[in-house]
Amino acid sequence: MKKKLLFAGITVLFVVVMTTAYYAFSRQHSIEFLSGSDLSSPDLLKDTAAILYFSTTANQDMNRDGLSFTVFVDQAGNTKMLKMKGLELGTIFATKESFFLADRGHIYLADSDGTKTFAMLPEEHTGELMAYSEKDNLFYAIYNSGFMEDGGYRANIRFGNANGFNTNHIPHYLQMSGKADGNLLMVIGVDDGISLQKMPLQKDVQPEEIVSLGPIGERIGLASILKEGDYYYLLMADTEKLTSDVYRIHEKTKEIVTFPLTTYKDIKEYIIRLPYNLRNAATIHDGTLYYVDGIGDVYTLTPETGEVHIAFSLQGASQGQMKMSEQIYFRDGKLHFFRYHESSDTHSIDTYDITTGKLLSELPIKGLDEMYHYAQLKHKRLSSYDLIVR
Amino acid sequence: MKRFIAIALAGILVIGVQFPIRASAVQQHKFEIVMNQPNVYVEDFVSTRFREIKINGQMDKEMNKQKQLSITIAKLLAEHFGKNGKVQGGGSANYIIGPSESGDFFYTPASTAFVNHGHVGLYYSNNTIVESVFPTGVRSISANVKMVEKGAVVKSVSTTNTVKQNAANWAYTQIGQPYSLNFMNNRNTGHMGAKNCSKLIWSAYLLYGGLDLDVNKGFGVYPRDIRDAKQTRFVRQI
Repeated sequence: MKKKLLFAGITVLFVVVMTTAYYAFSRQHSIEFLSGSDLSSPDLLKDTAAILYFSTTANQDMNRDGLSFTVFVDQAGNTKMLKMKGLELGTIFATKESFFLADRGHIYLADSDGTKTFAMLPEEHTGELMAYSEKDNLFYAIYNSGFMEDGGYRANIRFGNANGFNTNHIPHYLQMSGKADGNLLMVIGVDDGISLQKMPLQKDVQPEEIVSLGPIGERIGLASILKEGDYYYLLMADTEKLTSDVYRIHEKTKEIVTFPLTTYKDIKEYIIRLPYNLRNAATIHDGTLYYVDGIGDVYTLTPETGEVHIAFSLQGASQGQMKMSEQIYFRDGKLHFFRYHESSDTHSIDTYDITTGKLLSELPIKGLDEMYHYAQLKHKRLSSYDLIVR
Repeated sequence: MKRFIAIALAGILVIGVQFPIRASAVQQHKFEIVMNQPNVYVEDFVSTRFREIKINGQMDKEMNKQKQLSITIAKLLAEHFGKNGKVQGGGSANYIIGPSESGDFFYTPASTAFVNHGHVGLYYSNNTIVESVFPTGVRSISANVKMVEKGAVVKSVSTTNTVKQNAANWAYTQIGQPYSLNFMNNRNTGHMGAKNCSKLIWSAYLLYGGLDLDVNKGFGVYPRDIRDAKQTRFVRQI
């Protein structure tokens, strides 16, 4: 009897201590997140210099408790965060006047007129691309997680503006995607292989084939589909041959020219050198194609000659399979690199001149540890999925 | 500071527990000896130096166990509540699973409500993974972008390439099927229709290779059961 009482006492004591500790520590870590209406505050719209997007993966959403964060960074590196409901591989879009965000079940559109939040059903669980068409004043959010009634895949496009959003469907899984000239570009699976297709970012328009790319084999995209002048550019790896190539396709003649980009010693090296974010891994600037791999090497390809060089390397880039949430973003001849500093346990956005490789500036980012800690308390792991520099 | 508070809390907890346990251990030991030797009275051996040493030895063992418990609790509290317990990079470390051969599968730790239930997905091709996630159901995702946790592992099934390819092909045909939250009894549910991540792989290999990838053959097939099945072999670890 005494023994039973003793164990009951110990159990009660344990529960009391754990409960007290939990509430004591939880209170110390309350974080102030932005509300939806805060998104349209003039200061946030004006002062935001960069935006980062983090989310849990879909398999962490078993209890409907997936998390995502849009992090607004000002010129001084201060951060403000919007907590959302998670969207794996989600992306963000912003102009100087507006923010366009999405989680698994909502679209947020904020500008000086206010914030509009649209609940969207059915929910989506894999993001792909966000875009804006000035021509028809419509925002587009493209997801890669829909299903047909017969079980086949379909990618869904949510399009609209402050007046409301509708959904259009592409009856395919998007192997690769991109946007150019008001078109959504995509590589999709067809009966005999894969195909580069395009469709205008408008309602009820079906994709149109640009060119067949043959059997897929073990090829897989490494970057968004790019377009420059009359040419489309596709960066694809072959994980059987352990190579990666740039495919240049003439819009009218459909001629395909392949430029070898790099080779990999083995699959381990291939994985280590996978880009931080396939959507932002490459750009074309002044006729040169730039590509950043997962160890921070910046490749250049000159299409006229087919010459490939490692032009420079990003300082502090992870060198192993463990990545530190790095992100890159190209804009106006500059390469912005979100990175982690192990020595100081801090993050920064470093800016490089892509033509010279010179490090131009370093913006320390404050406050991310609060976000990571919040996720950690909930036993969640955040991955970084996008960066925009305005 | 937080770690200090956490250790202090653990200390309070353990000190509060240790004294009764010390008294309890002595008493319990006495009763055990008396029970095993009915002709001996408690008073007969308590005064014996040898028995005292033995009892004290037992008590020291109990104390050491309690110390280990206190250290473990302190670590758990520090990890759970304290910033010093955070993972490298303040939580920013992440890993891409990357390609593997068709028919291979990955296991990654994954938590819900503080329970690490794990998650598994099957390679349909080198670069495409088929997995069942809640609430989407069965979907595919590129191995180039699939993020996993530290401690994830890629494993292969010890069977023919034909079986592996057939199993992977069948799993791919299940895309669009809804998710099932029933792990507890998923060995006994149908192969078609709603399924969770471990059921997807288990059914694929049972249907197309006659392989029961369930290490303990219990009512439910959990991700760890697939990971630890004897018919699997290690490929690489994250």
